Amino acid sequence: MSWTRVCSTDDVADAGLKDVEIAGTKILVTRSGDEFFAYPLRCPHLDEPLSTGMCDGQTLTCSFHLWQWNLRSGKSTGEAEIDLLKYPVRVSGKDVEVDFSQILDYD
Amino acid sequence: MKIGVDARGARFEFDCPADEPILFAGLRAGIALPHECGTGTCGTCKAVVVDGDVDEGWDAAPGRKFLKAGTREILMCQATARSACELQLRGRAGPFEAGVPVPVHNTGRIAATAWLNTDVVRLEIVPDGPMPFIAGQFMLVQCPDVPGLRGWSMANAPGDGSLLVFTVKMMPGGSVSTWLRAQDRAGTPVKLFGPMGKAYLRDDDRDLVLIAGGSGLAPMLSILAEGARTSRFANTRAHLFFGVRKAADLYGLDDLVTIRAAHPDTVSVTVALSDEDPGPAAQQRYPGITFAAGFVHAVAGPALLGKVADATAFLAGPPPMVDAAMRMLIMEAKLPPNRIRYDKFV
Repeated sequence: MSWTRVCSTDDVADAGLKDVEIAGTKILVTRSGDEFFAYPLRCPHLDEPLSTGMCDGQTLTCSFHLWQWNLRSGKSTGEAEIDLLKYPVRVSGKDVEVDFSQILDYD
Repeated sequence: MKIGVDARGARFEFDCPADEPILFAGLRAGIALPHECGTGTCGTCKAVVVDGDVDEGWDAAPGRKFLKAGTREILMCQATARSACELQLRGRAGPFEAGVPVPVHNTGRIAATAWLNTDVVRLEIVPDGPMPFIAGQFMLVQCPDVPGLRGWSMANAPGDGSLLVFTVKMMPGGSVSTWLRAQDRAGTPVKLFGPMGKAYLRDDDRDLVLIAGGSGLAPMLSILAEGARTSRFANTRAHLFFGVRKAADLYGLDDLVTIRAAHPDTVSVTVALSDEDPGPAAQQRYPGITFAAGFVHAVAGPALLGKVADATAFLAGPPPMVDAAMRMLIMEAKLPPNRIRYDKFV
């Protein structure tokens, strides 16, 4: 594992969606309570940015065709035909850190 | 040309004439390839060319922004095949749902025109042979001398498909708008492809939530007319919310008054004006219709809260309106996504 700081815990509101670019890799950082999750920014459907989607703290919804995933697992909750790929995340103090040792892509 | 498509492991094959967009040939063959607008804008029909030679078509198609540079991605609605091709899709494809008409090419003629306000013209198009459709669907129309297809939703109950009624809103500077304004086009021949669109009315007993902005009223008029014809509103409800900027932008209200008067207990109609106060005159002129000030999604939200968890919602209109209404329905009204129907034209 090699951890890279992507943002502060204060940068993501509860149930918030934040897009972050680290060394050319774009990710989505989301939050449910004290837990943080990171996914590739682009929707596996047609590459729409998931940061413009909707989140209620449990479910992530892409705003383009309403594909939905469980926020914690990235697994489809019905309409989505492809599960999200998930980056390892840890919180260290106020830093949200992501392991980029494997860059995730859907193609 | 023979086209092979791999859609997440499922394989489809169809023949594609050299001058026909690959998407249209596939749809005509009864394969529900991913698509929405059919006119190069939404990006939903993108595919990767794995093998073969294509002409990518319209190089300024707005939907090209969804294609990844440096890959062999195409928009199937624009591309034509120069050789046999193998394509790969991200999403699924399959046969058309039972009862959903497979699109066809046709010709027809504009039989009558009528201006409903200064910016909306009603076109009656008679196809050369019926084109069955389902309420909520749209047709691609090509007017003579104007390049490209336009996607217009039918505003009438389908019947046997021998009449297609459209309410077309003028776009400032738009080439079809300029063409329609130049003179009365009644009698003019047109080319047609369709029907298209997945935001169509299902034969079920769910209540309906219809949210329309501007030109988006057309499919809602079709859905309401078909619902009235089939006695759907004898025991299920329909809540229509129609948003425009000003009272001068309204159209179709006489039809809505009639439908509402026939179903006073089950059909409600609310008109939202975002840029001016409705005032009492409109209320008197259109009995049974409720007028409100504000954006249509903001007016609809509180009115629907807690009432529509089992409903099906239809959305049509300018993209910011559709997006705002969709967020309201998912985040506030808690509708599951598979009960929100809309077609992305932009």
